[in-house]
Amino acid sequence: MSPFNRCAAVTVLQLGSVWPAFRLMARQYGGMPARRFGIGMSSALLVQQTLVGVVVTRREPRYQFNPVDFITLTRGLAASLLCGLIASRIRDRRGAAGWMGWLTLLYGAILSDWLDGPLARYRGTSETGAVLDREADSWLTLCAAAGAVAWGSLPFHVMAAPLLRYVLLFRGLRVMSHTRLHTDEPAWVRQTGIAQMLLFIAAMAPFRGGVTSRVVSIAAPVQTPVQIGAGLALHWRRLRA
Amino acid sequence: MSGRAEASGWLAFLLFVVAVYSLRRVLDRHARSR
Repeated sequence: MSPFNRCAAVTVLQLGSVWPAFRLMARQYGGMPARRFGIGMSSALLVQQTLVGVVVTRREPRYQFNPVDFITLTRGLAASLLCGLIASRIRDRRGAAGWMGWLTLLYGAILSDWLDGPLARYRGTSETGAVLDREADSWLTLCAAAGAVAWGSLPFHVMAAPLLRYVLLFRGLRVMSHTRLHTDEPAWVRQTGIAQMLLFIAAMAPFRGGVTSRVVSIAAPVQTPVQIGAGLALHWRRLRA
Repeated sequence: MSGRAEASGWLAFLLFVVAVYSLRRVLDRHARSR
């Protein structure tokens, strides 16, 4: 089976998971928001899985997806669920939609992200798997930022750093490969990334109260320039190397 | 949201993070010992 067909099979499986989430949304918020959710989530899923299929086929036409890649791809599923929630226009952080989005974010940003690395090292890593891993991270971060703006009351500027990452990636890809662009990343890249995701997790937390809101309102204006500065510093460092 | 509910939420979050991090360390040790 070609990587593209394998990717199509994964897409069908992932599309199956839209249904229970759609049913939950329909029961809680009615037909129209649920339809917007279903269309938003399915569209995001189809677009991202098509991109995965195209990229994998072009990089390694004989690539065999392994179980770790499937875990990585479920991070894309988490991102598409956040897209669906944004498309639904339901802004209910404390209700079913908020819990669904927050728990999905925890799965993608912590459970899947932290465990697929050691599992990949255990099974043996591949360059294509590493590309999927980094891109799933970035896509989930961008969707989390959009979700944190939509129902976490964060200002729009928190999306600047995740968007800038794509601008710098495409600029960098003109002069070197994706793998070389991400080789020998300093430890602070991961640390600033964790701080950024923690901000989004705190902003979207369904149990968020006065203390969390105060911390979020102090951290958000600091985090954006720090993350942009870190992204630019890393980009220049890569190009100079 | 009451302060108690907020504190409980963050405590549950912290336990989740510690559990996943511990699992990650165990898996890393297995990966290195192979």
